[in-house]
This record gives sequence, structure tokens and C-alpha cells, in this order.
Amino acid sequence: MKKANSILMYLFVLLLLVISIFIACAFGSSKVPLKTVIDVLGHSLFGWESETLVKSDIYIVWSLRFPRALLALAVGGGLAVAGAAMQSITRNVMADPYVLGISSGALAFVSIGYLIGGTLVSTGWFIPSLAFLGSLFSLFLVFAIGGFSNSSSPAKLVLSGMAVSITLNAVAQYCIYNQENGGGASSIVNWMMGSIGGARWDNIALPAIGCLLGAVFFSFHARSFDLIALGDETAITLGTDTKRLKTLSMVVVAIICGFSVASCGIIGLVGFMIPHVVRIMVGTDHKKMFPLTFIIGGIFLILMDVLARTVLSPSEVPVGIFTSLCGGPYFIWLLRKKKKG
Amino acid sequence: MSTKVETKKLSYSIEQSRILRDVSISVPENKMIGIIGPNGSGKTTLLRHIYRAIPSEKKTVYINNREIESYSYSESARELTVVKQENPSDFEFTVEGMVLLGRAPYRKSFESFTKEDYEIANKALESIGMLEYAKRSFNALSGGEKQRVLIARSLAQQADIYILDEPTNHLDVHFQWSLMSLIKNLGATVLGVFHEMNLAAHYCDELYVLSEGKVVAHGIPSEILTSELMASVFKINAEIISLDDGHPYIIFHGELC
Repeated sequence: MKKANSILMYLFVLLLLVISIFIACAFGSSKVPLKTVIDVLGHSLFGWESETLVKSDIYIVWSLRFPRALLALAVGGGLAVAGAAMQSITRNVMADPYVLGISSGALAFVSIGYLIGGTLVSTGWFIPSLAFLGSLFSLFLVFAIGGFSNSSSPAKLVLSGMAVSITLNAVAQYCIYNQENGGGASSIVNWMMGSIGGARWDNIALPAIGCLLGAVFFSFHARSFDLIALGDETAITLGTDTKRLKTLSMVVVAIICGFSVASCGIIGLVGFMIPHVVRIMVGTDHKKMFPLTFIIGGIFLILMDVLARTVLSPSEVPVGIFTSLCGGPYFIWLLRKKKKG
Repeated sequence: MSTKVETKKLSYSIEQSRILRDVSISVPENKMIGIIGPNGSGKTTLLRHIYRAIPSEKKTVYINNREIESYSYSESARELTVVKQENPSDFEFTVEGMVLLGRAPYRKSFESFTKEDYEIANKALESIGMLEYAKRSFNALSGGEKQRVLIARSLAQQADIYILDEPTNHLDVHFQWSLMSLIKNLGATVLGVFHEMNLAAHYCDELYVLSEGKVVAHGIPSEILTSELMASVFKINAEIISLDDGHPYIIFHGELC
């Protein structure tokens, strides 16, 4: 692709992102006119003066919907680049943090934490660290069963991911079922099915920074992901330290998944779908892929979240349901296509 | 003449079975050295130690008289390049993109390829007669075409040492021979595993014969290729004739029990 073309594409995608954020700020249980959205954001970001602003509009747009859109951007983007990296490392276009059971690991650990945690839960770091450890735990488990070397079959890896995911999901469900507090349990169920509704200015920093740094890490190692997609041996003979790359990537994937699950629960298949779409756009060139995957993954989750809170407005549907509703059929379509090809 | 690749008493076992036993070989500069042996004799395992797919024990594998473990991966990738069969991949690359990856050892992971890299890649494609394929999809090529593109990638890597792991499999007889002359004409240092023994006998300056993980014969092809060796190592009834150009040629008459 020509350089001018790719710059145009980036500009177009960034424009889409800005539009999506505006939409996310405007739509919801109460509709805020676009003009008001622009006024509020202008007022809060750049200190523009506007006499017509109402306090409730400022609260809805600036304190609720804007941080929510930012979290959706970070988590959607983070999960998408984590998926792209996993697909390249496992040489398997079906790989994704959700398919491989990594999200379930985070979910199970966090659920155990809620069950036994008591006062620790209210500290800011306890749940995210549990989620990170849970992701790392299931990553190790899946690779121990499915095989870490590139000679192991991709299908075996997906199957071991499913086995780990089923088991750990059951652990999580058991813990949640055992929660005494009924009101608490319903919010946990919401979180378990994936929801970005908890986003506030004071809790989005950690997941946002984690996901963004993860994406930067992957972009920094872009060429190595081109090479490892051809297999470990080829990557080694073309100068990649595959062991180091895999180990670091596992930690970064665990950070992204852990922080995402801790803040939004399980949002499935974003990491599976988005890299595919981007690969159709730019081919297997991870230098272009990672940044685009991040932005498009973010746009996707922002829009899915808009859907989640408008479909049954004023009540909200967990966004994880919508991402899985899009991702599942896509998975089936890809399986069928692979069989024919 | 300096030694480019050397193994010193290299041994390797998987669980109880010993795959390599004290294998010592040396590859002099600008020579083409072949390894032949029956299935399971450890040929590919030996090569995999040299191109680092299997981490070797300290002080067993040397590149340019330096322990291989003292090289970074990008350093060793600038010294030696590998042509082998590659597993099919779901990931789409253009032919040009595939050849450009041969330039990866010269660039940092986040750096773009330079204009020079593109020139080198295109020149490599031209030398194997596939320049007009540059924008095509690699996965859509035939097995033989893919193999030639991988050779172009190795050329673009501009390494002194070529490691060939049965590179001529899947190639028809014309491309088998043209690939070998192409590599021979580079004047590079070559270490290769070959199934096709007459091809090896024709092109290699020296042969190592591996059997059950051990070097059982080593020397110039016309001296070591004998009916006795064919019978004891390959379990085949064969006759060796000498061609007009001085190369030995093996005629197979049938298997031995």
C-alpha cells in the first residue's frame, strides 16, 4: 500500500473514532443533543464558555459517558491487539484471549477474591492484581496442555483453551452463586457478562494505561510478530529470540486481559474478530496492524456499548452479549471458510 | 582456509533415545558440504542445532570459530541463512513481503524497511526469475514457486553461510538442479541435508554420512560412496559408476533385507 493511502486510512479511522465517541456521549437512557455534547466536552476539556449548559448534562456527558467511552476504547483496543499478538504467536487465526480461556482465568480469580476477600476488595489494587494473576495462571495452563512450541497443533491449543475456560468459568459461577448478598450478586453477574457501565474518572486510569502500554509494547516488536507468524524456526533463523518474545508477550497479554476483566468483566471475541478485519485491510504487516487494530477494536467496543445501553433503554444489557453475538457467527463463518479452502 | 561452521562432539537425546552421538563436522569456507543418511539418522536434528531451532549445549556448535551461544539471534541470522520446507500458514503475505523479511536481521523490530531493502529483495526475486510475482499472494503459489521465493528470501538475507534442509523436496527435477547450480554459483559456504544422493554427489565437495546419530563416513563423494556403504548404511543394493565429468553416480538395483 502506498504511503499516502495508509495515511489517509489512518485519518479516516481516527475520524471514525472521534465520531464514535460523540455518538457514545449523545446516546443512552437519556438523549443529549450533539450540540450539547460538543459544548460540554469543549467546556470540560478546553474551558470553553457556554451559558446554556445544564448541570445534569455536564454530569451525564463528562462524568459518565465520556470516561465510559475512553474505557471502551482502551479495553476494546487492548483486547484486539492482545488477540492479534496471540494469533501470530500461536500461528492460529482462531486464537483470542476469550477462546484460549485467559479471560476465564481472570474471572475465576476475581470471583474467588470477591468470595473470600472481605475488606480487601475495596482497595484499588486487589481485584486487578487477582485478575492479572488469573490470566497468567490460565495462560500457563493452556500452554502446558496445548503445547508451547510451534510444532504443537493449533487445534489442540484451541481445545485446551476451551477445556480450561469451561473449568474456570464453573469455578467463577460457583463463587458467584455462593455470594450471600443478593444485590451484590446481580452486579457481579452484570460484570461477569461484560459491562463497561462501572467506568468513572477515578477507576479508568489503570486499565487504560495497561491496555495502551500493551499496545505500544506489541507495536514496538511488530516485525517479530510478522516473523513468528511463519513459525518459531523461521523466526529464529531470521533473527528473533522467540523464547523471549513469547514470554514477554504472555505477561503483556495477561496484563491487558487482567485489567480488562477486572474493570469490565468478560468481553468476548473482540480479540478474535478485529485482527481479522484489519488483516483484510492491510495484510500481515504488524507494524500497520497493531495501531489500526487498537483503534478499530476501540471503535467497535464503543459502538457495541452504545447498543448495549440503548436496545432495552432505560435498562442496560451487558455489552459482552453483543460482542459474542457478533463474534460467534464470525467464528462459524471462518471455520466453514477454512474447511472449504 | 577458515572454518565457517563446526560442531564438536555434539550429542543430543530425547528422553531415552540418543539422536546424535558425538557428531563432529566442519565446514570450510566457500565449500559445499552435504550430509546424507537414512531416515531417522539425525541429519535434520544436526542442522536444527546449527540454526538454533534446538538450543545446543555450550561449546558444541561454532560459527566462524565462535560459540554459537555468544551470538545474538539477529547476529547469527546475519551469518547464516536457512532454506527448508516451510509449514503452511494462515497468514497472508505478498511474495515481495515474504522476501523482504530476509532483511529483518538488519533492521530493528519497529524499523521500516528501507529503499535499499526493497532493492535487495527485488534483485533476489529477479535472480530466481520471479520478479513479476512480487505483488502476488505467497499462499496462492505452487509448492515449487513457494520454495523459490524462500530461496529469494535467503538471498536477500545476504549471509555467508547457507544451511539447506532438503530444499529440493517438492521441486521438479529441473528446479532441483537449477536451485543447486544457483546456490553453487553463489560461491557461498553451504551445509546441506540431501535425500537425493546423486544430486549431493554431483554438487558437494565433501559428504558426511550419518547413521544412527553417528558420523560413519566422511570424505569426497567419489571416494566414500561405495557399494559397501550403500549396503551397510542405506540397506540398498547399488552400483557406483564414474561419470565422464568425474562425478560418481549411484545406480540402485533393489533393497536389501
